[in-house]
Amino acid sequence: MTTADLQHEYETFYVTKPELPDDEVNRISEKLLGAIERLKGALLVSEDWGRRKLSYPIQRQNHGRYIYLNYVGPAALPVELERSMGLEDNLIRFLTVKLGEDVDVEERRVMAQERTRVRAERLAAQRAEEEERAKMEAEYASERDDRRRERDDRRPREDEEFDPDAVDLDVVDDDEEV
Amino acid sequence: MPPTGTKRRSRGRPCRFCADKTIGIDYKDPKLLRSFITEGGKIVPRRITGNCARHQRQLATAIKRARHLAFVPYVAME
Repeated sequence: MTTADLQHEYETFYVTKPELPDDEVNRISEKLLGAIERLKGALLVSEDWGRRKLSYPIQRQNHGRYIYLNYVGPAALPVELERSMGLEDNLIRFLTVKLGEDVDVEERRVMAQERTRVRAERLAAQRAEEEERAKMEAEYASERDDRRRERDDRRPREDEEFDPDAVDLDVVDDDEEV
Repeated sequence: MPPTGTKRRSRGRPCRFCADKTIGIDYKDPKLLRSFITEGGKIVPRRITGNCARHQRQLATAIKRARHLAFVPYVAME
């Protein structure tokens, strides 16, 4: 076994323009996955992080669609992927990070599955929490509206109660004269 | 006893990441990173955050990676 055969673990993020049609996104991802297979690597995780706001505009884009890949492969693999991504006009950013050298592929596969599971759980928890908060807010808002309505009902409506003839103006005048 | 006239911040506080080993420093976690950059986008120095050298170094790398992917800004948040 030569060093060219050693399997290393990498992760790559790439960011496409947000309005790019899905089949174009799929074409790019298939191209990259094809390269992983061709160079005898193995994909561990592929996640679509969806449309996110960029912290600063890139190529006049304010949003980007983030796609995450986690894979193992020989050292030539990330080089090929980066070259391939560089050729795409619709990719606005990409970043590859080496996570481990000369790794045990099966072990990494298990670890990656664990990470995916944890992430899915966290996302689900986050979503549940958001829903909970939205529900509480809605409840609070409706309670508040009820309270307001109640209060408004108690308060006499001025246009109904006010009767100019009922006010005894003479009393005031008498006081002033005294 | 410290020399009179010198003001020293208490040294008792350990690095946040050493204290809680479960927090991993990750460039994919902009929420965490944002607590270590100023409003202008600069990395907050170790002297202020109290991080140990190793974690500050990891943090700096993570912030730089996150900047490249536009997870956090290089300069001035709006």
